[in-house]
Amino acid sequence: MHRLLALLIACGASVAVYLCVFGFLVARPFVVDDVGEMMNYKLAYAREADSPKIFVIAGSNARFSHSCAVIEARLHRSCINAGIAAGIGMDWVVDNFRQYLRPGDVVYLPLEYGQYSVTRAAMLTSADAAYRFRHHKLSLLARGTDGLVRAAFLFDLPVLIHSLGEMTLHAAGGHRSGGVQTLNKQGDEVGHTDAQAKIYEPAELANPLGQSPRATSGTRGISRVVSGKRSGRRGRASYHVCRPAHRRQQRGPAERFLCPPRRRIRGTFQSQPISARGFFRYAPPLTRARPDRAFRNGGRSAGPIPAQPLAWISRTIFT
Amino acid sequence: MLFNSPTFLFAFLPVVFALFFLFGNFSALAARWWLILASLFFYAWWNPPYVLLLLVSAMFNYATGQALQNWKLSEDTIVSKKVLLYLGLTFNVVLLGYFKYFAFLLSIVAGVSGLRFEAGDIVLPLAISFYTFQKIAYLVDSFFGKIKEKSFLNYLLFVAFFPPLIAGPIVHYSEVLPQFRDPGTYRVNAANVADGLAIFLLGLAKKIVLADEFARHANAGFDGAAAGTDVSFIVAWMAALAYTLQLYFDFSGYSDMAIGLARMFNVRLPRNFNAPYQATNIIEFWRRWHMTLFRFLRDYVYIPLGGNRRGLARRYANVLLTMVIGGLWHGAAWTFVLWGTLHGLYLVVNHLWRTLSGGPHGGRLGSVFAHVVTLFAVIVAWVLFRSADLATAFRLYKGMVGWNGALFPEHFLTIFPSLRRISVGVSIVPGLADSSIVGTIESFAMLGLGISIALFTPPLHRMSERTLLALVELSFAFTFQKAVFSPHISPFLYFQF
Repeated sequence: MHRLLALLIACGASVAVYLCVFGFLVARPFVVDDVGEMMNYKLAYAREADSPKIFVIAGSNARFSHSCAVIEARLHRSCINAGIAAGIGMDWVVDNFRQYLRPGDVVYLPLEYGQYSVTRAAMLTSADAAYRFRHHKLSLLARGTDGLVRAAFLFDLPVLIHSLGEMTLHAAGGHRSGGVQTLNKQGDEVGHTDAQAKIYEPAELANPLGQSPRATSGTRGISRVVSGKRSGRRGRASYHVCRPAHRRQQRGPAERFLCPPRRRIRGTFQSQPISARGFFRYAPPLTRARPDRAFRNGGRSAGPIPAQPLAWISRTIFT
Repeated sequence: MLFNSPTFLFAFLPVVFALFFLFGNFSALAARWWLILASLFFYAWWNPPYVLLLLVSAMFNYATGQALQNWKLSEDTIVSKKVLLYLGLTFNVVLLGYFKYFAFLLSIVAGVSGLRFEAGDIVLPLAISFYTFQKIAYLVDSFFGKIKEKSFLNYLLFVAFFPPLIAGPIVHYSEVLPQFRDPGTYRVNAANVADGLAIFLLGLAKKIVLADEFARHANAGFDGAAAGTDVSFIVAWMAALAYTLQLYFDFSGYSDMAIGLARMFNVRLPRNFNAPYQATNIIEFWRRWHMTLFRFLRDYVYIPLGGNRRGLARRYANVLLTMVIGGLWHGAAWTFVLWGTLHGLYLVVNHLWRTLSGGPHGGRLGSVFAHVVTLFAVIVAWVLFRSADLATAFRLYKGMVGWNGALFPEHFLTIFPSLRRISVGVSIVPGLADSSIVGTIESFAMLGLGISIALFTPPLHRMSERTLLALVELSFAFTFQKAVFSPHISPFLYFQF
């Protein structure tokens, strides 16, 4: 019986060592810690920027394809480019920036298609989970036990090797070509060229377009901002979606998108190669109407948006 | 059902294990029945109708075996007994041939005659190659009077016992059944459970922590070649090496799992691997790789062909033929035929070398050289084994000899400039870790780790209890992570055979 006991102890010890190693010892300074650094950098600007301001929230589409510097110059409003990478949980991004949302702010969501259809499991195992398990474990509690456990067991053998490789390169003075150092004050990636982007073109074209937006973890995360329910701030939101401008993505659900008359903003974004554009305005609560009935579509009242606004948006507006 | 699936790990195994010993407390017969039913369920999980094929085949072989065992032998009846044996063998070979080789044969006939033949959709029954060989061995052993068994239940248990059912080890009746006659088999033995569980966990680690990881690297190169890409030197060698490691960890992992599972049920199965990549010649390699298949081929193909009893030329012809059959056993494709032929030639050359040189020479340096040459020969042959067709294999070979040049990601060369002497920098190298610096380093590190394990660690059966525990401690968390949280459950490579 003692052999069986020894085996069970060995298994338990293995898990304990694993959690200690990935929770406290090894890190990925180039790929994972980078995420936290960028988030802190962008949050710092969001904290100091004056309202009414514009938030561009998405993945790398925001970071690489949008220029808050240009938006600021044209609209004379502070603009925060909150985009880091598409593989980061949108709930985390939204939760981080929501604290700086004020009435009158505009949140612009040029989300990648994948963000709409991301599953809960995928969101719980996104890059930010690895970062948070290493550096902000308690913050994972917001995702529940499931989120904490999934984050704790995100790491496999290649990740360990990757971590050791990155730590060695970092210790030797290596640095990643992109990161906080290549962001401007507003959080836009600077110095990124068309030639650099072209390298990724085959991979991008090979990616099938995401499914049309529906009620998923991604949409629920976004919906919390739209409804303002979670923060306790009752808000009035209006949402607009433009027809895609990207030449290669003129198919799929994008073809059904509407283009609202927001000329000033559209003019600002016209040259940007993005797949779809959505806006909603954060506004003070209405006094006479129920806040969740205040959803607007291009100036037209669009009825109630209860707990699943974006799913509803997709059904109501995109078709 | 796959050993690495949550269904097996967290439902099937605990239930079967618990009820086997629960029934065993009251009745060995009930425990045997339970194990048979559970094994058939295990098999049926893949495709229920094919359980019938397994059962029909088992009934036929049992009846034939009974007739062979009970035959009253005399001068007059020996011919009839042989006819019965050949009848039984033919049944098994025809069954295997129909499911596995019919379409291949038709394609050859169509190619030669210019006529068009359609074989239809023939689904290869899971494990048919393995259980056919076991049944052939049963019939031959029955013919020679090595087996005396009357119980159909026992025979069915031998055929269906789930740990070695799908991908071996290929067991003999006399190895397994006597153990089920021991009353101690039906009592929980904590030491056997601990040993079995440790071996099982390490086998599982080999499969899901190592083999599946190498699969990623191997697939990149082989799939690229299959798609018509000119594979560069580094990617081609990386794919070939990764597949060499993937196959070893996958198959030896499965064998370890089967051995470990059987041990938990107090049954000892024969070893199937003995650190094959540490062999310093190809003869030794085949004594260490898939040992139970090699034993079968030796005992039931090579020796009946005449073995080494009929002169040197006949001996080498027998070796070659045996290995071609071994290649064909793996699959109905020219790549497998060529792979078997190549290994047959390796063995012939090795035997010739031994005959001419009188044995190994050169001391330690010679041994290292022999080791490198053996490994090289094995890797070259695995390219044929893995490739979807001959064109893919030749494309890989072209890459491996440097026909398409050696490419590295440009930014990787800026960090390791000395590599410029042997390679050219490009923005993206297809099939090489997304061309990222750390990804490329990780690929090399994983290969290095795999090679180190394969070349320098002893097989599990030669390790002490303490070493096994240390290995479990090292690997369990990663195994748990993959088994529970990995979104992908990959089948074992030998399932296709």
